[in-house]
Amino acid sequence: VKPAWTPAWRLRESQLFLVLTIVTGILAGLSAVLFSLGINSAKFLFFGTSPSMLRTILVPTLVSLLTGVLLLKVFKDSRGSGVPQTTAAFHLRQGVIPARVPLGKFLMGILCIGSGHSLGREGPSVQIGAGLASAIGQWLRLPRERIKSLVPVGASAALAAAFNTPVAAVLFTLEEIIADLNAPLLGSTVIASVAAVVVARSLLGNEPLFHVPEYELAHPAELLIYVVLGVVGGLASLGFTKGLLRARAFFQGLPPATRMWQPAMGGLVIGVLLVFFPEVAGVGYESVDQALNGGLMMGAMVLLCVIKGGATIVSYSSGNAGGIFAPTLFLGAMVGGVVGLGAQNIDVFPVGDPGAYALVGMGALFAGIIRAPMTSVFMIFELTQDYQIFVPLMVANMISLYISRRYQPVPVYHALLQQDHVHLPSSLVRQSVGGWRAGDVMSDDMRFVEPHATVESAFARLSDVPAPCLLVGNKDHLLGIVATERLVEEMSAGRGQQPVASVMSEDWAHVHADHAIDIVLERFGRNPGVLPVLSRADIHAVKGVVTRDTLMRVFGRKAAGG
Amino acid sequence: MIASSMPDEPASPSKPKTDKSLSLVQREVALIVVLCVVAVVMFLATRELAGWHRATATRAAIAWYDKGQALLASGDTDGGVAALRKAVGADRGNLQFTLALVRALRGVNRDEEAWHILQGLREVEPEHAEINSRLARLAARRGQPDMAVRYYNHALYSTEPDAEPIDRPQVLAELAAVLLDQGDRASAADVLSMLAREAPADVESHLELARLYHRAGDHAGALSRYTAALDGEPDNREAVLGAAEAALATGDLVLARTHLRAAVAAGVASPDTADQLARVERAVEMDPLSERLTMTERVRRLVAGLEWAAGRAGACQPAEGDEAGRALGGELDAFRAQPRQDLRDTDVLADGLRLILEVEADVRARCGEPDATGEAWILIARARGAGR
Repeated sequence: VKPAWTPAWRLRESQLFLVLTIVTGILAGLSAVLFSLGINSAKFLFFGTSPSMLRTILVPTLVSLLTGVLLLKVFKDSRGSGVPQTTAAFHLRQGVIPARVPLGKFLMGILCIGSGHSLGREGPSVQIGAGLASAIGQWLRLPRERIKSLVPVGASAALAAAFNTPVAAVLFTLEEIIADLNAPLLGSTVIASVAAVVVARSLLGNEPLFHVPEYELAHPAELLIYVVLGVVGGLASLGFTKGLLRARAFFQGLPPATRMWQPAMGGLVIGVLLVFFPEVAGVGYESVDQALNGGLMMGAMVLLCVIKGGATIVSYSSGNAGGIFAPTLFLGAMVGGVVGLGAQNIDVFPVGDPGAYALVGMGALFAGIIRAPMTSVFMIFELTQDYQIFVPLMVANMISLYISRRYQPVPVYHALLQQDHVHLPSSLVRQSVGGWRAGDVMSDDMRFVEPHATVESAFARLSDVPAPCLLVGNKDHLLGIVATERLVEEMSAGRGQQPVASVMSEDWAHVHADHAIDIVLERFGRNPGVLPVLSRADIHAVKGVVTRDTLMRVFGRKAAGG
Repeated sequence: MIASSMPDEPASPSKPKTDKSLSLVQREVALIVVLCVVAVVMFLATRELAGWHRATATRAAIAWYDKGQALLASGDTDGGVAALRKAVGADRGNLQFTLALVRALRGVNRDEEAWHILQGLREVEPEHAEINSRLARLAARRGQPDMAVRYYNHALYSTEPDAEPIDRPQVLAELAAVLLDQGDRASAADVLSMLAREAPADVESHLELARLYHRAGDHAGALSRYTAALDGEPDNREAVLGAAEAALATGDLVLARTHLRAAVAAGVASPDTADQLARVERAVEMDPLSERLTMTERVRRLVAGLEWAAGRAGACQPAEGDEAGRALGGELDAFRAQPRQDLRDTDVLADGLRLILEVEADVRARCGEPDATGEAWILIARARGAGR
């Protein structure tokens, strides 16, 4: 028998999700505030007001020694920014993020950034907020689709609270996490961002992150200088991105035994840098504020740009926890400030305040490195609240974005994921609907051979079950493929005792289960009869193979009306 | 699962499936309530933490502020600025620390940064008198007088009830100076009259005001302030020389002589002052419009002046074709030809003075600087307004 009061307690699904969105937004906002307070407190605790040289060097080194152990043994998913990991969780794992991830990111982020590493707090805040939202969804036992919907809600709310720009936070989530500006989650991310910002401002006050100069286009020809700023910003973005990826590849290429010590190696470098350039510590917004307000000379800005870029590359690539959002803005402010001061010195026509160039430079670098042009435009607009800045900002942003994209086609967050063996689906794959996919035509009947097995034994396996080629490795770690023809050649040449690994091909095409059939057919032609279907979440894991037989079987069934 | 378990509308209680959905919905509502409680607790805890953090940051900011002030006092301006920056960074809303940083930045000629910081402060507190006055000073230094005037007016007429008191006379004086730089003497005169009412009665204030009156062309005002300054400090060099100059400008040759004599007697005179005194002494002796003279003496002095002018013109004849010069010579001859009886009129005396000055100016243009007598006549003519 239904109790008389129950109808009042019943909520429709949409109403329930709305309430959940608000609560999640508040909690994510609180987590971002706590994270920020934690970093500041840790900084004060570690360095005090006037640290000695020894203390400045030892703090990042020793703290990174501790975080190195924790990041390897306990919080394995908490290195780096958090934005690419959140994007991967959204697209590849239906938004499921283990609860230890936000916890680990919270603690590791506080320790790493608070100890002086040149990293930002916004990226980790995104992952903490998203992880918290996912944990709430899992705790409530929501369906996967709903958990997935909560992830951008938490991410957007946390970023809004961390950076105090709710509109930019929503756009960042749409551009970077969801990768779709038309996403139906727009409403919930807006609500959560507003809730988070209200909470953050009620706790921390409404003091803006930066005191921005009044923007003014002093002369129409000034737009030419913004074109120059776009070019310089694009080249700087390119330099930073390439440097970061190469340095990270270098650290990843070091022996696995060094992984635990790599953060400490980075910490030592940062400690030494901090002795001479304390400005590079942490987010560095004090220096950004100075650049915006004419407090830095040209030489100082050039120097800080180079040192901060290098410090961020070292901090990030050595495996510490922290993002590149704030360092990107730092670099942009310095680049813009230098261009603005240079333009003032040339004195051909009236130019605006160098601080305005620093502001536009922040947007240009953000567009070039993070590749979120809409976010960068609205972020700077939210900081200035001045419509006049739109045109120069868009000019510089688009040029920077073009140059960066032209010479570094893969965006930095995607490239970082690829270095972690994660391949995100492209926008083409995400948007294509209907039709057959690789997952529909693959088979899980796979022939593996161990890499240390001899060519002779591999050849013997083929004689039992004929196949055009063999996969080298195992289901969790595919190393390469070896064609039957190659094995025959080696046997004929009397080299049957050498290991398969020495004759396998490492240059082979692959697909993911969500790839459309036309891509499958195009790539199938590049391999000797077998096209591995790999996991997006771990590029080494094999989910199946596409062979001529599997294709014929499926197409034959279709042709037969099956 | 919410999606599958929750119907959009309340379902009939007779259906068992709906009962099951109902219980699931209630569980989720209950969990959300728990989440709300967690959010409230977390909010309160974060607020406490934020308060603690703010207090810690404030303590650190005070320490940095003290250190910055000490460094500035010891002459280490860069160190002082760096320390004050940290103070402001630790306690961003603190006006006292921020204004101290602005002062320090001005001390190291970083006007641009000081300007931006003040602009940021003004966005928050647009009526704050000190912020506006500092902005006004910087605007004046940046060559933006209109903006400076606007900020000065904001500073003077701040409506903020608990605004920091400012040195109003100082701000008024600066505003008057900016207006005078712009050539806006009328507005400057208004400001100076306010300043005259509000300025303290010390020597320096009198001198400041006298200088401004002098720049504004109000020589009577300047004279009164210099005189007031001399009351407080009779041997003040600037006051005594300024008073003499102002007296000359107002046409009071006797008072000018008195102040110049005082300057010489006090030993604050320069060789130029002595020369000036000699010229003034001679002018007083030659001036036909001096007080307490008989009409006969006045006419005698004018005639002497006319004779001197004729002699000067005769020694430097105008060139052929210089019709103006010849006409002036004719006019002088005609004036000299008048009977002395006709000269016994104040207006005629003034006309005679004007004529002497015009002849002197004409001759000077052709034949160079006058002698001491000529200088005295010029002084007399100017003092009596004939040369204006």
